[in-house]
Amino acid sequence: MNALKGWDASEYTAAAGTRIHAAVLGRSEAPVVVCVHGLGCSHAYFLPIASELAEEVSVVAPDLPGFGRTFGPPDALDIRGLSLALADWLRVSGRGGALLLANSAGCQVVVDLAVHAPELLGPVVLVGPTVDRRARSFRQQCIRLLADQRWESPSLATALLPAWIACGPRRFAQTLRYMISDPVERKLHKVRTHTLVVRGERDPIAPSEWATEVAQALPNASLVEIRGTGHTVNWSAPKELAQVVRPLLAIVRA
Amino acid sequence: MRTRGSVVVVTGASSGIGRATALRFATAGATVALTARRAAALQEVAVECEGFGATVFMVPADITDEEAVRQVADKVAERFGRIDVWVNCAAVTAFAPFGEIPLSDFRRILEVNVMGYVHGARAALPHLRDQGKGVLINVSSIVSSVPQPYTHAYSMSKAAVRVLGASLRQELRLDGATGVKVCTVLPATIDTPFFEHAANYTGRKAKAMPPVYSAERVARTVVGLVRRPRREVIVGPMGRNLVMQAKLAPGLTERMMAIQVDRSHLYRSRPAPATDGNLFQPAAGTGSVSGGWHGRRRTAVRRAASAALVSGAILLVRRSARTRAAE
Repeated sequence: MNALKGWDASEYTAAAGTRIHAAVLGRSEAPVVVCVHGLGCSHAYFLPIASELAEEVSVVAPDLPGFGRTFGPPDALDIRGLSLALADWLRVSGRGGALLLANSAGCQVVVDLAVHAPELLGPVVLVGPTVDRRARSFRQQCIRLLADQRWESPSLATALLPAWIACGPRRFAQTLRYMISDPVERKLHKVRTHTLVVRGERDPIAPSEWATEVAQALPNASLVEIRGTGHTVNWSAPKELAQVVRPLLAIVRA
Repeated sequence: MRTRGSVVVVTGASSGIGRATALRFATAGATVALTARRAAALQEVAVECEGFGATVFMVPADITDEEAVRQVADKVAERFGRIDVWVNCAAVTAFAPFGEIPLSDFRRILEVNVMGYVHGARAALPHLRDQGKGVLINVSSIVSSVPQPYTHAYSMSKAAVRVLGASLRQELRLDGATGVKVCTVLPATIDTPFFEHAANYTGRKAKAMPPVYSAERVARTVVGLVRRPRREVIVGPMGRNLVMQAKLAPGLTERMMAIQVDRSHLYRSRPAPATDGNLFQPAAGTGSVSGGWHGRRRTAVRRAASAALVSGAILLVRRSARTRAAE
């Protein structure tokens, strides 16, 4: 496999019945930040935030089974399936306890991880957590996804194009259905580690009301809003995001 | 949901329908967790399931013990990370005139058949809810809508199970858990060791009341429910007729059922000593699917007879049409 543009290395780990691909950037012996991508995405859209943090930490962005460069089973995995795969990868690669930075559906995967593998959880940053329980339908989510495009830079589409192709429409739709039926608000209380909820000010997918509710339901969380950005804060405002994540790195170091 | 790769818990897996269901799930490629009181019987089922290439997990427990059942669910979730399907199948019965059944036996039947299912549902549903998807299958019986004499406790318990299912479905709907399904299976008379294991105070040996169907048939339905969940399913076409009849002519059905149970559910010529069966102590031995009531053979004979009847009728109609045309 050819080297990834912008990243230091590309590693493959045998876990969860497949070879899980992860992109790595930053100092090797530094504390680790694991980035968990959202629906139809891959490691690629974490590059800006990874470059921002590379000086201080080692950033690892795995592709969940069926997304990016990791092959998945023919049928899409549900949220529990994805979080079991993530847990297995964290164990095998010895990255348990790392800071988990998740975007969108990745937040659901990380929250679900707290249900069955709380010991693997380090500090958590949830960027634009899904799915707003007031808009739990396929139609509403699609509308919001389209509405969000206004606030995303066109360059995001070019970064995600290979990921969309790798995922394919069938897996995309199946995973979205699983996301919608996943009762994330029931499980938030199980995330006992230090948590930060981040939302873009203009994000229609995770509206302010919902982000507040998520932050309140988490036992140990605070909410940060980043001005002028949409759903994918890690792509459109890496500097601001890095700034709010930095205080949490001290916990990983300790 | 796909059965291949899903994690299935079956209670009452040591014999009868539960055992057949566990085996069927094993052949369908599911990971099977087996629960019953008899560890030795579970061991035998586990070996059989492994023969089909399935991953098996044994957790012996008495379903009347709430804590033990919760531990079953937790252990399975810990081992496999999830529970996709929970099948409540463990049940007991007694044949006795109402005045003669010891109240302790009556209570025990309700405890096993009702509270056992409640414990199972309480243990399983939090896991299914957290996953946002999964199926809870309760095995009830057609006696829930077509009650019989001498098996009051059993009929009551099966009606309760059916209602529990309906109630849970509504609650999940209100809760927005559209991915979690609750299904109730209503089998007719099934060829299992159930009748031999039953408590009996009638003085007459119990037998499987015809028409008898095989336990594999119920198992097939249960596995089918995972692929395509339905609210309630009756197993056995005669059972379906009976339930329909009970709705259309309830009084007549009650009268018929009384006579039929007296004639063909209990032997007139074979006496049986009073026993509390497997209510308090599990039955001896390592269990089996069939109870020796020839469920499969009887189904085959019924099918052959109805085929003969239909073709005979067609021939008759044709012949009379032909003679009329000749006249």
